[in-house]
Amino acid sequence: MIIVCGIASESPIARVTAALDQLGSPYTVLHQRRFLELPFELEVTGTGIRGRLMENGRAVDCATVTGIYTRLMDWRGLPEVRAASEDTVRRCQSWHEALGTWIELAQGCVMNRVAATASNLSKPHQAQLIRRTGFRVPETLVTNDPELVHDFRARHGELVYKSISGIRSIVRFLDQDAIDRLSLIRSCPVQFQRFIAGTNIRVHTVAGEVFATRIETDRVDYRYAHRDGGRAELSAWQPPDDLAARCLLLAEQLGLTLAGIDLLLADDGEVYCFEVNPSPAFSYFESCTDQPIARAIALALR
Amino acid sequence: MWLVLCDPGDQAALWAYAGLRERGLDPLELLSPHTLISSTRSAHRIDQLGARFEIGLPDGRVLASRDIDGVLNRVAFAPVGPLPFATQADALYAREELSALLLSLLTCIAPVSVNRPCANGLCGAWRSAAEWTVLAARAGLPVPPARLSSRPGVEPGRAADGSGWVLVLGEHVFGEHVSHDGESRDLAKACGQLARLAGTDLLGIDLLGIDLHRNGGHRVAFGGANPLPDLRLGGDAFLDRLLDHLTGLSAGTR
Repeated sequence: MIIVCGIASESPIARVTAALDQLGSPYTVLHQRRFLELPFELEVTGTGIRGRLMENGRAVDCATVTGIYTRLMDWRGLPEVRAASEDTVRRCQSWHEALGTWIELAQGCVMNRVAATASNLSKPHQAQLIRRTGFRVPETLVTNDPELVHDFRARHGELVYKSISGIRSIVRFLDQDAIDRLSLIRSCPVQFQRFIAGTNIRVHTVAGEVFATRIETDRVDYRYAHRDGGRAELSAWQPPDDLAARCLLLAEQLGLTLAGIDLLLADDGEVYCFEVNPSPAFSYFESCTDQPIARAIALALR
Repeated sequence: MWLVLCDPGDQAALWAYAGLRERGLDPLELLSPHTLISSTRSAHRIDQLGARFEIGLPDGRVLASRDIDGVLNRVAFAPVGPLPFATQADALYAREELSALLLSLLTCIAPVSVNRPCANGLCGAWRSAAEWTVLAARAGLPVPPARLSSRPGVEPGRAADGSGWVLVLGEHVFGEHVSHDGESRDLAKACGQLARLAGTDLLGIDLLGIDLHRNGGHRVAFGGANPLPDLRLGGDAFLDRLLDHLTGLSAGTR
């Protein structure tokens, strides 16, 4: 049995369940918005977890679970807890915490365990982990001192800035408008990076398989290119063997069975790694390139 | 330079700071994590040379990561106070940013820190009771069954009788349950193994308090663990070992 956790209609989840249907693999969706209807009681012993999950009146024995695909959104943002009673909020929190613990301890192929996904909560922290696996990361300065930003710009030329955490994670050029507002960083440090010209590559690693997408764009953050009136063209790309191997090693070192790795093939020939997404929205890339990512996920979970 | 990095109300850390000073560790600074993220002039850089920071301190000095030889890291959370932003959304955003920054700053000095930070715990990984139970069993400690329930307020389950604590620091184990008889030796070995298992490939945990309690008056069973124990339980022997540990950290990494 395979367990899929999240919101059933969300694109990556819908693609995984469709792939499981095609393969004829049995699965159960633990729909996080239905937490009140999906109570579970498990026993933790020295060797693991025993017990059953209930879904639609059907019992799922934990021992039969071979794989878990999880793409849970922050429970605090669920419509079911907005303006809900205190008791409902407590139940929602408890359900998600218990589910997270089970996912952490479950046997089999898990995409991904909660602890492994946390590195992306701090981009400079994750950048330090990325460096240790041999990838280059862009020269980075996190500061609340405008003078240091001017010095950094004088040294490196064009800069981009983005959040330190995973929130409001949009990359922007440090243009004249932003420079004029630079004094505001005294209230909260900001992350600046040297802008590197090149071609964006998104690599999805799935339990040892690699699917790479090349993105041609005229915007600094291709994810928002269309919204900004720009262009982003995606195509499947075959990475060199050594680069593919390094991506797999990076994902493994971060403890991620499934990862979305953002690379840049710089015009100077270097390969940079920007960050690793532990819960990638692979559906966007799959729909543009026809790479069988959801099928690879489904196969790995069996 | 050595640091004791802790909240000002952390009595166990203050005790350790005083004990380390008494033992001659110098220069030794007591620093709040709030100081790290509230500095009026901070620079945190990552490039081909590695990761580092320089942070202006309230007294005008500059704390540079390169000057730090060892850290007793007792940071449980990012102490972000009220923030001067117009909207709650902006204040929440700034809170997340400062928390993320603190994690990265601590990661810079992780090689000389005890405990080392990781993304799910600034002073070592926080785990649920169920996760600790499974890990303790793998380490060879006797564990009572624990429950994992989606219902709020359900205790994971623990044995009832009197408890004691064991402190693990590297290969050394301190506590009232540690003596030279066979059972205690096995217990100490398992506690050390639990501390090792609690680490990760990239970041490890060196220090653990392990809550033990007498089960049926004979056997000791695992009751819980955390990476922020009350150091005072280890007494002078622990402080002596902590001094050795902190002075040995930079030698092993630089």
